Amino acid sequence: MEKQQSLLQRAWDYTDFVSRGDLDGIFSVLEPEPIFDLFPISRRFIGKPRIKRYFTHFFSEVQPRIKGFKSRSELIGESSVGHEYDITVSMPNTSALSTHRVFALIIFGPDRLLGERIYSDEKMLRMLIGPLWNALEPIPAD
Amino acid sequence: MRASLTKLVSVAVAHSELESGNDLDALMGTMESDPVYDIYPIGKRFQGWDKTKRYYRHFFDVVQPAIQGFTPVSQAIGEKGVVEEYDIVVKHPGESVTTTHRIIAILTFGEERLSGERMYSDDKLFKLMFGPLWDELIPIPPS
Repeated sequence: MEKQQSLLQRAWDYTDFVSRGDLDGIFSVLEPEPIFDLFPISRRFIGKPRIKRYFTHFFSEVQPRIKGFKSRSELIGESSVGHEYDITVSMPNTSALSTHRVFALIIFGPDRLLGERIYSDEKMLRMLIGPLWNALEPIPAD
Repeated sequence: MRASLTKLVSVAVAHSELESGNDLDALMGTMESDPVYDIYPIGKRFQGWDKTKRYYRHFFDVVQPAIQGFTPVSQAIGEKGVVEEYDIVVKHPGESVTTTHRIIAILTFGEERLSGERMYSDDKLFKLMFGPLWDELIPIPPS
């Protein structure tokens, strides 16, 4: 119970660090080998160097494009915390705004956070992942 | 007045168990009168009692026999619903090998029962799941 509470606290801290652009804070709550899984495309990226590239891109290219954000639900489980939201963004090379549904699960590891599982459409995922897109790996079958 | 969270969670649990059976009336008994099923990322839906009944009839007759395996990945609870994430192994009609699909589904709470579901998965699985309803899906209006 205490451990669950501590992981929940880390998940909230993580969300706060992401919104503030605090890369050191983000890494302080992640396990040493974080994993980010993307669905339904079933691709992933693993490890601190790639996570760092992802967030560097996120802070410089994605955050400035976010024009609106509406929370749809928040769910808490034994192994994760889920946030479902609509995000309105200005995509590159267009002046029009588009709204995308995203379901992001923050995954608990043994002591810290293991990473995220993100469900969204390919257009949104491509924008989110940016230069890492071509480095994504298939998620192996268990 | 809205039922308690405990009561709504128990309805969701019953709904999940009934989905693996074949009792359509009992399953529909867990739903409110005008259910809404939203699917993402394609952003489409169907709505209403009759369509929901058709969906589950198709689910029992066609989808259940195609399911070869099922692995729960995670479960979570919120004020607005219960989420279930799992890998489902399916033998699609006309194919000789199975395909594993990841799906995450939120069973959404109504006043006393479930108001529907929001599901996130790939089009291939959704086409199988929705069968004859696929061509009747309508875009989810902005809210």
